[in-house]
Amino acid sequence: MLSIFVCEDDVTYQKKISEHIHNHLSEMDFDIELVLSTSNPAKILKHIKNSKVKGLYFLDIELEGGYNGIKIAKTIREYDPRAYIAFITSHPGYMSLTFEYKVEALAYIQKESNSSLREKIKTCIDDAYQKHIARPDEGCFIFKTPTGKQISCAFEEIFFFTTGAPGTNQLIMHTKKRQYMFYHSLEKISTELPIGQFYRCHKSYIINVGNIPESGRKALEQGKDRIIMPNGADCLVSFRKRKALVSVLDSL
Amino acid sequence: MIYFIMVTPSVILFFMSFYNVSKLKFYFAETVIAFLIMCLVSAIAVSSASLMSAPLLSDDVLGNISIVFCLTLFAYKKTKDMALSAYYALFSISITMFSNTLLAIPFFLFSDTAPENARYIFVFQIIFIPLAFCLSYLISKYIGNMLQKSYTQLTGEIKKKYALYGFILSTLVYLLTKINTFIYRLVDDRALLSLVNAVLILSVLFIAVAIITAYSNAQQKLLVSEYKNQSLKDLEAHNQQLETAYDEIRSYRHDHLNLLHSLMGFVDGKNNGDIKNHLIKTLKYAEESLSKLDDSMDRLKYIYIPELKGLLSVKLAHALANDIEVGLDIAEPVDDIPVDRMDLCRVVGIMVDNAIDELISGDYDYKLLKFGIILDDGDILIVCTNTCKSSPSIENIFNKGYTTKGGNRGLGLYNLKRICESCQNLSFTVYPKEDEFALILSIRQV
Repeated sequence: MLSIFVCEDDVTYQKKISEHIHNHLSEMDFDIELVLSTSNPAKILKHIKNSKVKGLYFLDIELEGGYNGIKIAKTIREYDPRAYIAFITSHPGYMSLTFEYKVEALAYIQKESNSSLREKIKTCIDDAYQKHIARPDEGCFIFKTPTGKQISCAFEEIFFFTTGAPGTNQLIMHTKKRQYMFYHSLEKISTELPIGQFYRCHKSYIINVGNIPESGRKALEQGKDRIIMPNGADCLVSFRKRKALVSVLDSL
Repeated sequence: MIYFIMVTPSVILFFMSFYNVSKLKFYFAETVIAFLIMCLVSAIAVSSASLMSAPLLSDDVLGNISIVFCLTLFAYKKTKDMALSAYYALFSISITMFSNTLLAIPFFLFSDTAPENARYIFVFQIIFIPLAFCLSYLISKYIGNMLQKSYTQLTGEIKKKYALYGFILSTLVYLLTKINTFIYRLVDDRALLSLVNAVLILSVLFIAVAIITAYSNAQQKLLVSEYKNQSLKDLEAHNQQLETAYDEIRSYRHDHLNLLHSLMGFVDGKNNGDIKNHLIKTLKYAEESLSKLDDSMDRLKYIYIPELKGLLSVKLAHALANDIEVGLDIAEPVDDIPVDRMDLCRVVGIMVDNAIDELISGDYDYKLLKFGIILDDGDILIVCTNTCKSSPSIENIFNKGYTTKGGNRGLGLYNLKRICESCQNLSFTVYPKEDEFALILSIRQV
């Protein structure tokens, strides 16, 4: 089940949003529920802290009382790593990159006329629901950054892990959207990853077999020592592991 | 005539190492003439020395001096720099003498048993000359390469100083070996002396080369840092100008709109429809175009790194001038990015250029470039996206020479990859979508 939360301090606007959500949900036969519609983000955080929800969140960026929508979104992700977040803003689209890459927002909605708001909310709900049923209970890889922040990333999003600067136990995780550096060791990580999906293809690389592109398979069959992942990064494959990796690919 | 034949091998030796050290280009005829002149001069010098038989002006000292003299003149013709030519000549002589001395050691070691055996000396000469030739060739080649490398980095005044220092150093090397030779005439154990001699020349040679190389490196660094400082100052001045110009435009914009609005007040209520319509249109146009200007560039004020700000203001102005809509997403102040400024500017320049190039050369109805600097708990993401039709093939885009734009391009992303590989906390990701291509640079706090 997917829960919807709305946080908007303009009460009339908040009501509008809730109304659109109700209308859309009543039209469609989705397993979705509007759980909370509030002007106080703390209420949402309190709610998701105590229950393992999977949610779709509509957040206003400029909230009263010093709250910042982006920060709230990040906190929400700590509790609900795969949260679908849509931002509502009265500003023009200049923050679009921040939404996309910092909080990986589903969408951002500009406060505009009524009809387009309804359309956008519809699209958001449909999108989130499609994504939700497409990968129902997939796990997440959770780690702490050097600054102590907890980050969780769906296994499906990960391309590969590799070691960072030599002599340290830095690891670099390449994901679909960006790269993260944190301190850990490949040995320990391999125990936290689902077997079959991830494969230690080199002494300093663990690859997500599910994300190897078609060209990667060809490269392996041609005897190349690396696979170029869809983000342009090279993932090395050692000579001895090449055949084994192909057979893991076949078994997927 | 006998002297002429006698000196030929050593002249060849000297000439070859001179050629290697100086790296000057000579025509064949020049070489032959110079060679003959040198043989002649040194033959005369050697013969006159053997007639005089003075202890300090022994035959080989006179011969050497004459050869140095010839080589210097010869080099002067090409370099037009006396000190430099003398320095080349002396240096090559020292190298040759070193190889000779080194090879003389076994000769003296064995000659104890049959000191004046003519056949023995003859056999030895046959082995000795090719060996000496190879040895001096190798040493002079190596040292010549090293010297030339450091020399080509220098400019102007420093070049002259360098030649002078080189000249003094090589004169010292030469004098030292000569003093040594003089002593060795008085002592019996020639093998030991040759060894001492060889070690001495070698060490002084290397000290000389090391000093010259270090000196030129230091000068080079000084020049680079001066250049860096200067360009930084220029950039700051340029930024200052841009910002002043920008402020002026803003205040003008404000006034302009007010003026138009006040004109509107005059026209309102009176019966002159055309003027009114025209004014309304003008007002609308002014509001639209001027607000666009403000929105797109205003966010650069959050960048407190002058180089980066300058670079972006130029590049983005270029984009705007080419009818590209620019979306800037810099929500928080950016004051420190832990990457070398030069590298940062190069990388960001490549990213933006790449996007602009694609937008200008591709046939797009709607051209949008988005640029953002996103601070994320210590990590910094620099994102640059452009609208595109079909995403290029990921495997190739970072290869040297790959381009979707035709022509002599395709170096940008290749260089980007190389710079990122050389910086430990710098990495990038590409994020191709259906209608958008994004390059994302992640900078990790170290």
